[in-house]
Amino acid sequence: MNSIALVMLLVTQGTVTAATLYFLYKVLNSSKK
Amino acid sequence: MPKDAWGSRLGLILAMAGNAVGLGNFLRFPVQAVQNGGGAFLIPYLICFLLMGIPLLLIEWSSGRFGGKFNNHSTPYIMDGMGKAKIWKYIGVFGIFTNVAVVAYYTYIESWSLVYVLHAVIGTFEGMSQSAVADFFTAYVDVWSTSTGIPFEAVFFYILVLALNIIILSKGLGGIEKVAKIGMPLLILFGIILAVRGLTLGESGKSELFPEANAWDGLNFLWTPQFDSLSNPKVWLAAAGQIFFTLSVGMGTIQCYAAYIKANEDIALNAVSAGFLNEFVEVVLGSSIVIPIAAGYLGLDWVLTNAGFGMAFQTMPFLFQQWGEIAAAFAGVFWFGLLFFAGITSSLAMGTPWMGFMKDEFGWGKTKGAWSFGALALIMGLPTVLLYQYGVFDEYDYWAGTVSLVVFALLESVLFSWVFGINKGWNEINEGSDLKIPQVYKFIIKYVTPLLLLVVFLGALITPYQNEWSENISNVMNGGNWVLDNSSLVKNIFNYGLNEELQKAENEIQRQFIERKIFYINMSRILLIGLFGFISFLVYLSHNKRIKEGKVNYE
Repeated sequence: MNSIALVMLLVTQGTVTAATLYFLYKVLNSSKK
Repeated sequence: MPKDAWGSRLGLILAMAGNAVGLGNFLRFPVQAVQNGGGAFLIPYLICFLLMGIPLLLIEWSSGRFGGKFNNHSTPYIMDGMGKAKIWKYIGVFGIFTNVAVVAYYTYIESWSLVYVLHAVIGTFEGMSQSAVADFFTAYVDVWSTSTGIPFEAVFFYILVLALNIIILSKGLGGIEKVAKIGMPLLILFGIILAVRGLTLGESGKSELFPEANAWDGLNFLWTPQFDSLSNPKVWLAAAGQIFFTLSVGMGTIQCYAAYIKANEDIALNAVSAGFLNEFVEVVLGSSIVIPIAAGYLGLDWVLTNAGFGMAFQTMPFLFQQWGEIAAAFAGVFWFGLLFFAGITSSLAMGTPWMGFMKDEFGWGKTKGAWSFGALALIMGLPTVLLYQYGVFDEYDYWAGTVSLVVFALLESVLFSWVFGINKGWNEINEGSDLKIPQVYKFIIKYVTPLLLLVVFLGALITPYQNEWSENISNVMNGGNWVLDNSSLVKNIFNYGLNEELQKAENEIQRQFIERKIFYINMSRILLIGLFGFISFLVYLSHNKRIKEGKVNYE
């Protein structure tokens, strides 16, 4: 893969994965109402 | 009878994400990216997710929970409770109509996936050429042929899958939640396995027939940004359209699911979590399977020429065969199993607005609601199965699965921000919230989202010739005419494309086929209008019933 494509892939997929995990973590650790 | 409720918060999020995740995540997204500037497509795509996707999710989740407070679990009366004009409950009919019409053909795709799992296990595709695999699909959708020995197998498996949906639906939210808790993790697991293969395939798949095949070429094309494409309106419209369809907004299913959330429970964090889970499946998994694997065995040129929906069933089984007998069986089970779970978690969601409406208004229980939904889906769906080659399936998808969604989402965003009022709406979003939504979203929801939806709608209404927006805009600026494409809504209504095909028909057989196609397409439109009219009539009856019972308005 060329460098710019690799950077785009890693940045985009990394950001989406991190955001997904962060929000799911928040859901699982929110106090019950 | 106690009110149906979600068993757990995670179950709700998985069910909501399952509702959103569908075939489009794995097939439509990578194709759209390839056709619209590769890596640069991701920029408008993610911007549209923030400006249109997240706001619509917040609108639908909060509208649903608001309706649930008054025991309304489907859009006709959820919307009726938000706006005083009588028309809103009839606009809310879209939120039931779309689901019945879409499930009618969606379960057909589910049945293909299930049958293909079976064929992957028994090794049907072993030794088949690429064209033989493609022909296998064509033969399957011809109801007169059989690949399993079962007569009318396409109809048989369609009814079987529909029955499976009905049985699960008759168990209520508990059944849906169970399927989501099993189906979504399996879908993600299967997706990860196939994505790892796609990302590591490299040049190992090249052959004598395709010496240039290289998975890296596919990934390079998908991810190399072509920044000049950012100034092209076509790319932005494609990105907005993709965000819109991937999240399953504008259908009425999110409102229905959210109507079963308790009044003091969070919706903001839930909505964003479910939205991002869908994005994970689309951006991370969806981009790493079909395109790199196809480029790895057939080359980038083939992908650029043939990328589309058909690849799922007509190409992937052939590619899996290149991995050897055992691995091909596993890959087939993973791929078609993944599509099946993506499908069933969505089709189950489509049953709930009808069931919720019939329970709220006419006291129908889960079993009666589920079976009546199945009967409606079967009546609507059989033409798509029996007349598949005449384009009835595509016609349903265009009007119910595309146009209706955009129209409904546009109207519901206007209702939420301008009729119900953005202040009340904002309070609904933040009530019981576990996530602080930035204040700027109040502005976005009120102005930007409806405007974007209007642009998407106009984009479909007056699509320019060959989808060349820049050329057509400059043409109009120079005093020329706006030339419509045959795919535009305006030309579609009058079957321009088909009439052109008819004029170009080379022989009598071709001419008769196109004439029949036009006839069946017009019939399918009458059927769709009939369905909308039928549901509107039920809403009318329920309104009269409410008047008699003295519960017309909540005020």
